[in-house]
Amino acid sequence: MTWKVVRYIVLLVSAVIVVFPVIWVVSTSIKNDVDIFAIPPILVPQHPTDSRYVDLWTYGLLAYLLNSMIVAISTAAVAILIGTLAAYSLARFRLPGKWSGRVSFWILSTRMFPPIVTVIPLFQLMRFLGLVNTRLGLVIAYTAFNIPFVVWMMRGFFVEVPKDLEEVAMVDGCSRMRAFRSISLPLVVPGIAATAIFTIILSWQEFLFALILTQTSASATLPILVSSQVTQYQILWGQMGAAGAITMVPVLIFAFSVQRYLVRGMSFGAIKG
Amino acid sequence: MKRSLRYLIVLVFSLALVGVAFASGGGEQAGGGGGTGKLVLATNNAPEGNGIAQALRQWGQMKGIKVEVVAAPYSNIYEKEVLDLSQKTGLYDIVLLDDPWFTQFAENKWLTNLTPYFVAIGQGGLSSDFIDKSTAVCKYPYATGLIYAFPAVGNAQMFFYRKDILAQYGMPNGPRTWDDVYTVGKKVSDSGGGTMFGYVLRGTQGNPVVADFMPILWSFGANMFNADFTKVTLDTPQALAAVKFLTQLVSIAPPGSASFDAQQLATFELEGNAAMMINWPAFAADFEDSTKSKVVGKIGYAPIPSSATVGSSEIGHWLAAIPAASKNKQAAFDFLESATSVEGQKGGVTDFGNPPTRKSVFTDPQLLAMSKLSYFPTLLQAISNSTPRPRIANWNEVENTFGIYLSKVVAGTMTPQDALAGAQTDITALMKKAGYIK
Amino acid sequence: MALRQRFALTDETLKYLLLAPTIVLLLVLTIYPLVFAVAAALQTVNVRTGARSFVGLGNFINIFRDQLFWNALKNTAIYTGAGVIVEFVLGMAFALILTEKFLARNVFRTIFLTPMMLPPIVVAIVFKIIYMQQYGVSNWLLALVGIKGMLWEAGPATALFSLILVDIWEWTPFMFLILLAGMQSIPTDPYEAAKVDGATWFQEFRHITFPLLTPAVLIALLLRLMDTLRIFDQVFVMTGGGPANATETLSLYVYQVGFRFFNVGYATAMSFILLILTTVISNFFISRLQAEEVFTQ
Repeated sequence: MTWKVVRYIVLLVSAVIVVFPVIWVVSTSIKNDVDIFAIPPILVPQHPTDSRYVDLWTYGLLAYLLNSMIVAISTAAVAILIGTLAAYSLARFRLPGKWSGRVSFWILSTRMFPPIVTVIPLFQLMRFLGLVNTRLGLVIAYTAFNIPFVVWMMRGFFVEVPKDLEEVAMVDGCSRMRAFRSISLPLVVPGIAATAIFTIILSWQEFLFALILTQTSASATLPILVSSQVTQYQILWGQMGAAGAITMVPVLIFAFSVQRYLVRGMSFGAIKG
Repeated sequence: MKRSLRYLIVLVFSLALVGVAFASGGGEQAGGGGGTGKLVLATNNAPEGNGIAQALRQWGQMKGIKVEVVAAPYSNIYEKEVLDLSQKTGLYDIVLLDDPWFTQFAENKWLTNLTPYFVAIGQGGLSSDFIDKSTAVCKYPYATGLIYAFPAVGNAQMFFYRKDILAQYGMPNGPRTWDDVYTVGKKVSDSGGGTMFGYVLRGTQGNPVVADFMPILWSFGANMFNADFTKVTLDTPQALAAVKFLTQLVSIAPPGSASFDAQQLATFELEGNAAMMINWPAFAADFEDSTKSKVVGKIGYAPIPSSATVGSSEIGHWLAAIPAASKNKQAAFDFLESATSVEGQKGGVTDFGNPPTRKSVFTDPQLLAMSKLSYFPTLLQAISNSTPRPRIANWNEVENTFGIYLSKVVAGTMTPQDALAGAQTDITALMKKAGYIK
Repeated sequence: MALRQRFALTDETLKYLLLAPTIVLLLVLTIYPLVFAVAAALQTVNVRTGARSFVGLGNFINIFRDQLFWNALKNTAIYTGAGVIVEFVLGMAFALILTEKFLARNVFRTIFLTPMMLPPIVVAIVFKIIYMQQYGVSNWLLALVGIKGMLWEAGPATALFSLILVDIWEWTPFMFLILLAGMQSIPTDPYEAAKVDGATWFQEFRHITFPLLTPAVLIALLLRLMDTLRIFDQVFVMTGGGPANATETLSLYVYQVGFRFFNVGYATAMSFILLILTTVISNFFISRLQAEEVFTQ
């Protein structure tokens, strides 16, 4: 067997393993309860039902979906805006003493905090600001979590852009910010795209802080909807499948359309002159 | 490149602005009561909670008061309530709580004493129409103290059994004693070919296994504590007998019981693969639903079997209380009065299948005529004979510790003797830490 | 032009100005929690009355005597170690395979990126359904090859392993993505030179690919380690820490102690231990990364 054949076999088997659970979720969401527990397992039910989706719709699915989208996109926009600027500063300039390294490390360290350290104080803070159960509160919290990632990613990209390019422009009379806008920024656009994609996905997935900071469908996101299908006595498998499917589909569509930016953007040094 | 970059910058900027605008425009400022007259309810998102939620919405419409319902799964509503109550944020005006949490909430003074409100409407306290045991769990100290909650949903564990199967063994009305359970159960499992089991039990550590085991413990004449919680009493021969019996039940139960939960039990029963189990009334409705159940009409309900003493069911009511930090206490009280009235509880039964806590509703002829409520008489008896979980503020931690040991017994990784000895030591330490044992 | 120059912000100002929004936001949202956490870790709260009392390092001392803590630490270590290593190996393998061009390569790339896009709790639920002992697909498949009655996440011996499998399924794509991107950016010249010298594939990998991939490798490992040490969502939904504490990770134990038992001080103290642990491990990778950068610049 040649390598090429083996390769396809390996890839196909792996693809099945990767894709099967996703299909299974969708399959579960259209099965009746009796079919869900059937042995041998049924992939496509004889009598599919859309009752789960109807249930979710009346439960307020649209609100959760909108909240997720608004929060994810807003977070990405704000985090990229603020984080890219900070990343540029860290990449280009040296702070006095060892502060550059310290600041970089501190920014990244905020991502290491175990959730419980921040949950209660964050709740108190948001309550104080009147932002509990608001999308804005969630955006602020998520921005804070994502900025470290944005800063670290974008810093890596800016570092790859040779300083000389900017210096040449500045000799010609450009200000630093002008050089940033016209020269460096265009070169890191793939990086911005990739970071934005990651931020959107991370915000879409987040669960714990959504749990604490949201109360009703006024601000709650899709992961909350999914976990709500676990009631005290039973797991509503069908509805959970439906909620899961709905949470997955937008992000999958999004991912498929941007995946090439992701790979390209993540390539270090892909920005060659 | 320059032009498209400019577009990109403008896009990001506007997205940020629009996003923030949308974000703040949409969310409600959950200012809780805050004197705005809005009533906020925190509840679990199951039929019990949905019943009260619907009642609140209807009541709000009638009175022209704005209402808001915060619903969360059982595993999260406790944390949400504790967060609000302990930080005194006044986010909620009404909280629906599971009765084991009651002691902690009341002892920490997080709940409003309701007696003055009752006196103001000419009553001494909760109506005598409420079942005694239901009223008792609403008082702190238990049964004798002040009233801090309304009994909203009358949950107590019952014994579920397959009428057709038990009839074959001469027990059409269910087993009387735990020995019966084992004898019949063993016969069923032995002839079950690996798919049919005589008994299913919950083994997941924590609440499930403890809730499943407590009735057995009590039936054998044992208890976890003495009357005033100054001593842990698991080192008795009766307790040992109870745990040993548990291992017997495990031997006739399906493999993997160590991680079973109420839901798995129901699934087994619904699929027709189990003959007997202890479980909560919430599942009764499912058994009569032909889209979910393969055993419609075949399930019977009985009191908890006896052994050394008469069997006692574990009570697990949902209570409705008013946080001490609420700013709308009178309105909240008025609502709860109405929601737990005879009409209110009847509505909860017919619309959501929520068991009531009033004797008159349990014996209402109209309701008794409904086949899906055939378990009412058994449930009424179960509540009247029930025992609550130990009324201690640190029950969560004690239950967790006890649950770990029990789960190991069910998994077969620890002997009953060792488990009880370990539980005795650890729980004593916990009680000392909390200040119950000096 | 001159006007513009005069009002143009100098590098000195820009240095701090650009950093300011980030620093302010992070300060506000981390300083208060940190202060709160330090204060909390030095106190205990009485579960019956809510009364607070100062205990100094008492909480920390109790941690060392706490068997459940060590159990949680052990579980976290196994979960993180096994998970990250396997994800790394698999991610590297797939990155190597999917670097070269061949028919349908991009389709496969897209497919393999899917799992990490899904919310962790959705993944947890999906696998809960698949792992269902009596009715799940996994046992049905195993039965076809003669293995019966595997308990997966329900059995004390197999639970952690089952959870690690889920983590591998979900996060190998992440490793794959970073390593692939790294590989894409390696110039082709060294390979051409190596071919001229008659190097084998393995020699190429060992002397060219892997060394040049070091930044990507370090970042991938760093990010995954930081996240797995804090793992919460999946475990919470799939097993809640059971059965018999077999899957109780540190984050879960901390959550339980802090929120269920209301022992906030003790929980915060444990969080600090976890934080210190994560910091030490991350530092190792970060310093290597910074060293790398100095080299390439």
